[in-house]
Amino acid sequence: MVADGSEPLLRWIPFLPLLAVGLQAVRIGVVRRATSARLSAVLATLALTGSFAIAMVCFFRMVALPAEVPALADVVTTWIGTGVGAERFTATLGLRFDPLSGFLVLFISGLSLCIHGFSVVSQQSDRGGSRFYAALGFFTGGALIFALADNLILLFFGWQVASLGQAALSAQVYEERDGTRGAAMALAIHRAGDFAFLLGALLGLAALAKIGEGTLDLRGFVRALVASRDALPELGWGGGRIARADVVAACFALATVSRCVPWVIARQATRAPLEVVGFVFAGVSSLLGVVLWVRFAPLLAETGGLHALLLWTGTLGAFASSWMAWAQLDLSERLLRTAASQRGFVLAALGCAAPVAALFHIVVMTGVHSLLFLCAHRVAALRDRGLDLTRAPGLGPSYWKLHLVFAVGALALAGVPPLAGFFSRSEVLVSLAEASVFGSDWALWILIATSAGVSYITIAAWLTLFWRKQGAVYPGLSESRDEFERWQAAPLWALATFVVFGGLLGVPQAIGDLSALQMADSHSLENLLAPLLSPERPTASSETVYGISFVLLVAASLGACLAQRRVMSTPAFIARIDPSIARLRTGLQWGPLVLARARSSSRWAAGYAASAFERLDRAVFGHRRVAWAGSWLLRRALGPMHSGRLPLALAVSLAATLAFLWGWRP
Amino acid sequence: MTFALSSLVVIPLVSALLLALCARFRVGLFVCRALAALGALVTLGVAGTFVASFDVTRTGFQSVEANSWIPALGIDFLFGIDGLSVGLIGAVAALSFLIILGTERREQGFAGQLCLLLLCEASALGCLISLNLVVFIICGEFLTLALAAFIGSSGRGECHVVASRYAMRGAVGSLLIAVAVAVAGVALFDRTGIWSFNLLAVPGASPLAQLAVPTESVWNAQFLDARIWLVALVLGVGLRVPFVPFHANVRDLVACAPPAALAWIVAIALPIGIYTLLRVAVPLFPEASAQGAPWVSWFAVAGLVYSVALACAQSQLRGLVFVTSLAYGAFALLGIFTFNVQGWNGATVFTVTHVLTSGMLMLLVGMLETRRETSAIADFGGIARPMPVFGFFLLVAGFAFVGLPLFAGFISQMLLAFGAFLANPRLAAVALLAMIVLAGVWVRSIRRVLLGPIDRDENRSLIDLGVREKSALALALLMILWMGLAPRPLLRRVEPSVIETLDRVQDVVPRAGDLVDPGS
Repeated sequence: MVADGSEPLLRWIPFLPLLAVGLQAVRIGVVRRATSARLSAVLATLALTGSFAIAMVCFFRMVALPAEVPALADVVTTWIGTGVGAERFTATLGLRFDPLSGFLVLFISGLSLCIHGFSVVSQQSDRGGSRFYAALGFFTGGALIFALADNLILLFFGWQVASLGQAALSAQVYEERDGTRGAAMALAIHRAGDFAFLLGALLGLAALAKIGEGTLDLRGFVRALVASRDALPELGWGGGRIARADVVAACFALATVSRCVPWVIARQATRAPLEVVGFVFAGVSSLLGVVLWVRFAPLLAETGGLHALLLWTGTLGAFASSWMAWAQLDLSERLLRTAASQRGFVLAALGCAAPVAALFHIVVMTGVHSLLFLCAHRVAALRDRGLDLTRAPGLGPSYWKLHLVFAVGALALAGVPPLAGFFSRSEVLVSLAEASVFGSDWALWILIATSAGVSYITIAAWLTLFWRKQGAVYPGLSESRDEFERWQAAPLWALATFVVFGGLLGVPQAIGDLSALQMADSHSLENLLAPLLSPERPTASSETVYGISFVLLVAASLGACLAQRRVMSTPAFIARIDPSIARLRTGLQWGPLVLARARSSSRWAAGYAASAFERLDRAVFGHRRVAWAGSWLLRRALGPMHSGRLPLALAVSLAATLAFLWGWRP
Repeated sequence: MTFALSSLVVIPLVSALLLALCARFRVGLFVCRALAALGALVTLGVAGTFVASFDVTRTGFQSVEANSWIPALGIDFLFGIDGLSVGLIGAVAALSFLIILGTERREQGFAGQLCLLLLCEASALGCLISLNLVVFIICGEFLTLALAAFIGSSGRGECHVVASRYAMRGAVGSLLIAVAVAVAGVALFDRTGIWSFNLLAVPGASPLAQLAVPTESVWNAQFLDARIWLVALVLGVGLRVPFVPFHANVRDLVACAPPAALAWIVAIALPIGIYTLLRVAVPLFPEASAQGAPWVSWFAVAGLVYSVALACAQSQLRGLVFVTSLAYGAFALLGIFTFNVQGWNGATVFTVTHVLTSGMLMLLVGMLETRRETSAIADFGGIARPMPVFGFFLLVAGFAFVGLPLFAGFISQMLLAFGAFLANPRLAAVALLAMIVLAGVWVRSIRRVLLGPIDRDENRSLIDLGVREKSALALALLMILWMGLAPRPLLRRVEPSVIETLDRVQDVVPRAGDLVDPGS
């Protein structure tokens, strides 16, 4: 194997954001100065700017590498080296910058920089602004470590740090129960993923160690597992029918799912700051799961039943979430459900063995939802935190720039060509059309219908917010406020540009080839640009899918416009249909209500079980029982001696022991 | 500068005597704490020199110091350190200093408590450096008695009853260990005609550690089978640590013992129990250990799962720390009976990391109790607002305790898990699941204590940590981080001794992978 090129700058990419977090922790926790959020913001933004700049430098150095050198690498130190022989393993604090890592690092640090830049103004007036930057930096640092990790332990470290950062952002308003419960849910779901991750890694590692192939190196681990799939020792599970490689693959698949479950996102992000919901909860969190899948794709490619399960989990999750989105009257809640719905698309793509399509879709949706949530934050700021769609004032005429960027995001989410959302979603649908997984035909139609639903919901929200005539002015709306405060415009324009040109430039093929290149260890600039310059011809199935989804999109858009027009023009119409809509929405809320009741019941049951267990433990292992068991044993052991003569028995035992020690033998 | 190894016992012992005099003459509490801290700091410095000067290229015992005591019975003051003990010595000395620094001053009996703390330190270090098993047992018994006295000094509830129960259980445990060790001594005498309880050869005597008592009876009688004595030894350790199902006194201890005593029991007595198994049980009875390994592994996993269930039922933070430590003890037991280098490395590193992580948590619990006189989880909520620094330390200590990567706990847990997966993947998977659930329990508890609205008025006026408390916790955190970020120095010290011990044991033990389940 050809060695990677050495690049000592790599370590600074994740280290700078974490260093900023450490400095803020010292300021907040130890020095305990009255911390200004602005200073934290400047510190965090500078750190991230440095990180992004270094990532750019590394990217260009990687492109300039000779063809035979596969990637850049930076081994900070050997962290652990233990064991003997085949069971010895060594873990380094080492990072690797291959094309996929490079793209991820640029994307995550760039997007995080946008969020930081946007929040410089918004967070300085909020309580806990320093905490916000610390948590965001922690999350970003963890995600960057995950993207760059070259061994399993560092990968797991990045995975966990990102999870903790996400929980910290959930609990940003930690004085309120909703926030802490959101964090608890995020952690609970991620703990399941952690368990699966660790189980898979340890099972694989132990099996490889037994055949002398044990390694913690990420690529070596996957390669060795795939190469020696049949040579791995059996686990003895399922009567020997379940191969160990399949168990390992299932574990990593479960870890991926833990980051992409559609329906938990709304609860996790209930009290998270709006600025980060799109970036963290709707985007990078799932992106990490998909990247894990891509990294282990050669191993996961041969697990058929698992694919069907994922496909249907994703499909049903996407469908249910889109309907739940329709029931929401609050913009942020609606966006959260659309984000959940897009997670379902991602899972479905993974289920039909199309990780590249999943990666492309989640990347695009991360950008789109980041943009939309930042816009939602501005809307909330303009309307004194009101995001109620039923009291929409029609912001469009007064705030055209905000209108424009929101429109870009909403139309991309709706899947309007030539925006990136159209391509990414169509990639997923095409993958589904070409897949031969159980029920993929039905799943395709369900997801096409879901796409239409999402299009309708999103366009309707856009029209309601920005196009409605300004008849009854929303109470909190202030005409005199600035559209964007300082520095907030640039991140929004940057994101809007990404959403527009991401589709135009054909990002799907680019990322597809990036991940392929990552596996093939090749990185030349020609290879990176080739897919952009000569995209593949669409297949027959892709033409059909594109056509159907386009027709449905047009229908949904027209439906939204017409409905909006009627809503705008005839208040009597609203009065007539409002009760029925309310009833329908109540019906749609039935599911969450049942879930909430189940949750409270399970909490009560858990408390009851805990106290019952405590009583049982006291009864079984309490002093009286133990004393009784001890005396019973003594009676049995010492024959006729009565338990009342316990001291005598002990004395005799002691004397016998002493005599024994001094040489007496029975 | 070179020190005699026995200075690790003498310095805290002398400090304790001076403190006893101070208590007698009613010297000010500030002076008492300063004296105790000075004694512990000097001990820490001496321990640090031993840790730093430990030669990682050599195997076997180092810094050996031999003085005869009762030569006719083979009982000597034979001291030495190797990879199994060197890290633990440093950690015990460090935690003793931190406990003295971080413990809140009490008006009554404070000097006496400090004196007992130093006695505990002397006994624990005596245990760790002793290469003669009789001295080892005596030091262990002293530790139990000093801890019992410490528990009795709290004045809470029926603390005297609890203390006497603790002493009794410890005494029974010590007796069982003593009997097993005596049997090994007799076996050596039968073979060589020499009485010796030394783990290292001294002139005129054979080392007991190389005896490796065979499974078949040395006296051709069924009831004297070596397996019985191994069980006695494990039971003895289980009673002293305690392991599940010998945890009946946990509830009483949680209710009555002062936080510093609990910190000692959880953070030092438990690792010394694990150390006893590594140092005494397996090397003396290797064949019996190998035969019993599957059973002990099942026992350990059952104990682990049961401890996790107990942790779910805990309503107090101090109880949670205690029960979680029991679970980790069971995990370390599983690692020991895997008989592979990873498992043993993990168990040995665990003895070091657990001292610091659980000790730091118990210190935090003590600091909380000083302010609120309770550690019931339900009595708190939202205290991160009035106590942000405390919240920060509790969060970090909790994460280190449950094994977040780059903290010290992760290294030991990862090695233990890997060792367990090498030996028996099914059991290891169950253990891993239990550990993940345990981490979830911790996260939930920390959330309930730190986050959410402040429901109780008493919590609004809580005062955050002072400089002394911050210093103690910051030192502990630095050590935990250092061990997590750079575990190689510790592993380089541990591994040669582990390999040497396992090599000796594996002459009579099948390969770890060949161990079978008891059911098959």
